[in-house]
Amino acid sequence: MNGWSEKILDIDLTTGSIKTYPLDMEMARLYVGGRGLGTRLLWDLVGPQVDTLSPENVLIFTNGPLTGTGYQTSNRFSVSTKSPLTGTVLDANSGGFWGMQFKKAGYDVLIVRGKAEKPVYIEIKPEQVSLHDAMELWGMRVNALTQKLGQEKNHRNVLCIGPAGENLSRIAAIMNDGQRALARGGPGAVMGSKNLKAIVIEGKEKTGIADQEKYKFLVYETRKMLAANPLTSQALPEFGTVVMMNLVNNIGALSTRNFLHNQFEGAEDISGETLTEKYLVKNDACWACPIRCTRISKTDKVKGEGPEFQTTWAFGAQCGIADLAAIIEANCLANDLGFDTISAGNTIGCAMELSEKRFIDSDLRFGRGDLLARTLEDMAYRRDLGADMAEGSLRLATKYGAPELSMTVKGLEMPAYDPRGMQGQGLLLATSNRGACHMRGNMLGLEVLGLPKMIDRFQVQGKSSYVILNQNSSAAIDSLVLCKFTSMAVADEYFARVLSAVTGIKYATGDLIRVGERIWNLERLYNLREGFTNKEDTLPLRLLNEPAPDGATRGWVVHLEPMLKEYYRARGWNELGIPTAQKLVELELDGMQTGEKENQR
Amino acid sequence: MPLIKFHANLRKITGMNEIAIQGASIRAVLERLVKDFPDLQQYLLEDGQLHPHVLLVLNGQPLDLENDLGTPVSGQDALAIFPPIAGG
Repeated sequence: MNGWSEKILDIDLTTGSIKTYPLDMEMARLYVGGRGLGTRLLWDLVGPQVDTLSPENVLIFTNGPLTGTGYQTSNRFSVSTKSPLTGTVLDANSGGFWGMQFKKAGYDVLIVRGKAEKPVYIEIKPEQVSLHDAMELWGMRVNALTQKLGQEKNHRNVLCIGPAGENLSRIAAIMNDGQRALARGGPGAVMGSKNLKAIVIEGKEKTGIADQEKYKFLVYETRKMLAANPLTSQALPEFGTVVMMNLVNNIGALSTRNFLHNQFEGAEDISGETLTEKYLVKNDACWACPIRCTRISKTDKVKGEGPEFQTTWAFGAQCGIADLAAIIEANCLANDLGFDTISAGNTIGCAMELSEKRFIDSDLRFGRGDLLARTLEDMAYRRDLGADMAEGSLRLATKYGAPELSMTVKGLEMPAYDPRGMQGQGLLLATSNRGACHMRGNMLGLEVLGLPKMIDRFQVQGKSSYVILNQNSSAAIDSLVLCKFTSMAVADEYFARVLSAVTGIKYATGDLIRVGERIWNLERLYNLREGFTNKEDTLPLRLLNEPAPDGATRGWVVHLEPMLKEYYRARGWNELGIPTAQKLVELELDGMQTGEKENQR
Repeated sequence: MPLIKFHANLRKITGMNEIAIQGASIRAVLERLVKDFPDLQQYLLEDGQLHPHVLLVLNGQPLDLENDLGTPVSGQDALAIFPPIAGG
């Protein structure tokens, strides 16, 4: 057993059965772990007939062969499910300590099926796995519950849902040791629909490593690479991710007031520089991470992890709010209620525009930082307008007659970047399999930071190959599972060497990227099987039709169509965005029926 | 004189958020900056060249460090300087 534990834990909450069985190692070779393995298992377990909030949907928690080894950032893990927000394939991953503990518990995969009659929580310990009554825990908020269940870093770790998940908000997260999250796409609602309040885990097994000498050398070299690179040794530890605020605003790509604008006059007030100067207590780190990008911040009212760049944007510029204390407090509250902060902030911004344009009768207005806390509470408990907002931006805007005001792709709320100022980012967001997401690849490096080289951010022709490489690479890293920040200093080819040393299976240069491409195509097949088509590979109309009003991006819209055509061709898909039979054979996906049928038409 | 805007730890090093500084091109402005603020050298330069992770944004447009340092600047221009930064 090197890398993988070779074991699946399968719990049916309807019957109470708890089973373990071997992991299919050929599947592990092809999909590695994390997002890849989760997607492959989801393909078999959840078909198009399954309602996302029914007992037939599943939660598939996965780690990867590097998880828990101690290799730098080997702390992450994933959950895969069919998204109740988008109806697409979904995986969300998270860092911290739970993933390491999950691996040490001796499993690669935890599948949770069915629905418990009454609220329960799962406890996984070295000596046994058990289900416990959670009636008294139902209704508790995340921080208190996490403490009550005995969370202790490196010994016992807790995943749970808060009121948002219990009340089936489609933008609810599964919270990880209180302040981290498996956030996007509503996995917390799936957990709530199963009457599952928490998963507590303790482990003590060590991950086997095939070639110890080589592995130790690679760890040593990685440490040197991370220390020598100013991004991972200085930039992220010193200012965290929120330092991006001033830069993205400066170039006119900071979405503002529900994307009505692309520059925010209050950006400096919510920047990384201001956070560091006024509210930062210290930085912190996930398990086995030398980068230490986590912020611990404090206001007069709260102290907690974060906020990250995307969260600060979502409760800030997206809502026209320049009060950083209110944003930090909203972040802590959203975590305690169990929300995806990006979707929550984005949806509040959408509601503000709906309200200002009188589609809804509400006191929400851009800039009203004083209303953030009350609005989040209303959403978590589905009170008044909060009941509609808990459904996410698209369902909210559609209900009130203005779906065009929802800033979503495939139903998932957009992140901070206004793609009118980053054309490649527009293509990336439009084609992302789980909807608008900056973690399925990100063109920030190439289009703004000049890493590894600067390409014209307004250029349209030729962007698809960069986007595809980014997407495949992100899927590969998500299958190991490592933090993407590591890849700022360490090349993908190097990760393949680490994977080979740990597992004893030879992954040559390019093999790992091929794994990423295989995952991306399987996710695409999943969405096609669910009825999605090329029509959903698009962006909010505002970004396609309304020229950006501000700064150096002024006058630009996203020129999506030509990029999309080029993208399909470069992916080896037909003009409808369906993988060709040849591509499926090449990726060892030819058994997947949907793609074959579509291509025989 | 173009307006230079400092970001991240460059503010602490220079003790200011922005300054107007003389120089007819990006390269000339940078040379003058390093002369006036010698502590900037270790953050901006590597082996006498601009560090590849430094980011220069002229009037909202990121510059290509290999090709754009000769770009002329005047009093109408704003040059934002970012030390190596990263995020998601």
